[in-house]
Amino acid sequence: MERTAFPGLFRFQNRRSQVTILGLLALAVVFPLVIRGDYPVHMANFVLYNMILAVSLDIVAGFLGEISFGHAGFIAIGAYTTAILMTKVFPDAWWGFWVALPIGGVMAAAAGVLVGFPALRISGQYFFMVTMGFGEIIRFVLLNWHEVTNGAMGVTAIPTPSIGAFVFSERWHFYWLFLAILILTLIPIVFLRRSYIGRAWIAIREDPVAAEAMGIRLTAYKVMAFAISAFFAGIGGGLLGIYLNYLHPSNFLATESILILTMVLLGGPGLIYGALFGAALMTGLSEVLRPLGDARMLFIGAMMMMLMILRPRGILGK
Amino acid sequence: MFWQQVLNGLTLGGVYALVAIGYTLVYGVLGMINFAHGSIYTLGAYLAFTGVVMLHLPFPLAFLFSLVMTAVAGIVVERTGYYPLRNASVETQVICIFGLSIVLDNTIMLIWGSPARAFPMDLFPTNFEFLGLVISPVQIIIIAFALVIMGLLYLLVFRTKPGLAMRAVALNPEAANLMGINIGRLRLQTFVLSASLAASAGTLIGVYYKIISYNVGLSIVIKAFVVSILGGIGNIAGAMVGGLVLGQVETLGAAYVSTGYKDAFAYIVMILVLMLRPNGILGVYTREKV
Repeated sequence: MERTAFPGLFRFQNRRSQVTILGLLALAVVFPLVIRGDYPVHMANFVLYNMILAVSLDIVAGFLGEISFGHAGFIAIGAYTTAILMTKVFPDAWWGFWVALPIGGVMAAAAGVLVGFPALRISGQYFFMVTMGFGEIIRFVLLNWHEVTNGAMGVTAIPTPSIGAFVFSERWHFYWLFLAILILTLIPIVFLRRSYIGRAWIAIREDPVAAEAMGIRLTAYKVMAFAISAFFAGIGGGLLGIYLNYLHPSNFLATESILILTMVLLGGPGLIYGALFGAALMTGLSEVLRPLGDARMLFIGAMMMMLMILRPRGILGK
Repeated sequence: MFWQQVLNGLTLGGVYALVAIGYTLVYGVLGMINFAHGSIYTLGAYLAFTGVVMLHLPFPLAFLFSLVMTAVAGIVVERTGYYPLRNASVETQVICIFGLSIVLDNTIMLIWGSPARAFPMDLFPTNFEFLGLVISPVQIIIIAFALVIMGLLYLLVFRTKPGLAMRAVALNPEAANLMGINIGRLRLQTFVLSASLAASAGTLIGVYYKIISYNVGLSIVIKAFVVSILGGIGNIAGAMVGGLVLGQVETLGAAYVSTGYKDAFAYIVMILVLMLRPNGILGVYTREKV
């Protein structure tokens, strides 16, 4: 396999897709300047948040082809680590958030390594159950480890991040923070996808036996995929805490993992832009369906069924 | 105290065995995790509740009503969730059936409401003491029912023609089809049987705890999975043993380790078994190859 150290990030098939991407990016940057009002910006923040999570899941579910039902576990580890460091360890420092966020990501990545190892022996539907079990165990720990996580009371009064004297006080401040972190998430993931690492993941997805015969070490690449995916999920989780100022174990139910998985599958797994599209569509859809209240999940379940029956490779997938 | 916990664990284990046998039957015939199994379990409990509280039927009739209605639901699940995708990849099918289980759970919630519902307290005679143990008549019914059903199923699978067909399809669906087994019909039969077993478990646990709620389906599926892999998935005798083991682990764990983690023990057992003994305790089924 050819080992390209620096794959071209902007090596797109044609000029049109370059223009499209830069255009979308420009639109995203100016969005809060054009659209004033808390509600649309709040929605956009959740779209960005879900995009970070969906893209991070795409590494495992799309590139590596291991469907994980436990993504909420990684998000929870990142969210709680960041929030606890900010409230208990360095509560008064303005840089608290900027130090806590990467630590949250690293903690989630460590958990990702733990989940990656069973993936070597277990695959397919057995692996669904292992990942789901992992996510639920994390939630039970959050509920029961009162000294650290405050149990069912949740972590409250999470401080708002700031840079020196500048405090992220408005929703559109958060918008740019989330957008910046989404872009910082996308760049390494696009790089990875185009490097030999990404091609090794695809090779493992297509045929693990042949990939191993070609000299790809399954252990290293699978564990790496889980660690990287969990790292970005943990970063995403860290953002949830500072945005809501409050975390509760019920933010990380198995349903949450399934919603993020649905976003990836909806857009088309393994495409990156598929996950972004799926995240935007699902966030919008659950907002549109909000008046239905509890019946909302019924539509989401029915949509999963229709999707699998009509377009099992996603809306944008081939 | 210890023996009281063992008795309670035995009751819970009997119910888990009932759930897991239905689950493992479907796994044997389809080779797939049935995520809708927990929803059927919930539906069974709610139908029995309807029979007792709304239609004022005596309990045995309400139980029968629940079994018949969920058997129909089993056919609906097979036709809507599995049949349209029978030639697709396993992942596609499992996600589709997951969607179906979300639909079923939320339909139950819309019909019966989201607050937990309670069975009447005077449905069965009061508890009595025997050899220092507090025994509820429901416990006796559950253990007896589970034993009878396990015996009947053993006879069904190993001594009858439909049972032979099930085992043949589990071994090799294509060869079984060439031998003249109607796989479509067998799948429906399996789903009817599996749904009734799930519903009976849901109803019995409902009258045991006297309370039912709509969102337990997922944890039941996971427990059924744990029980199945404990005994080796697709193995009926293994599911019985696994059910009893998990019942004891949960009850004793909750009593002596931590109540807060009661539902987490199942996941821990699952991960340990898959890592250490992927063939199950009885170890006859080879593990899935990549």
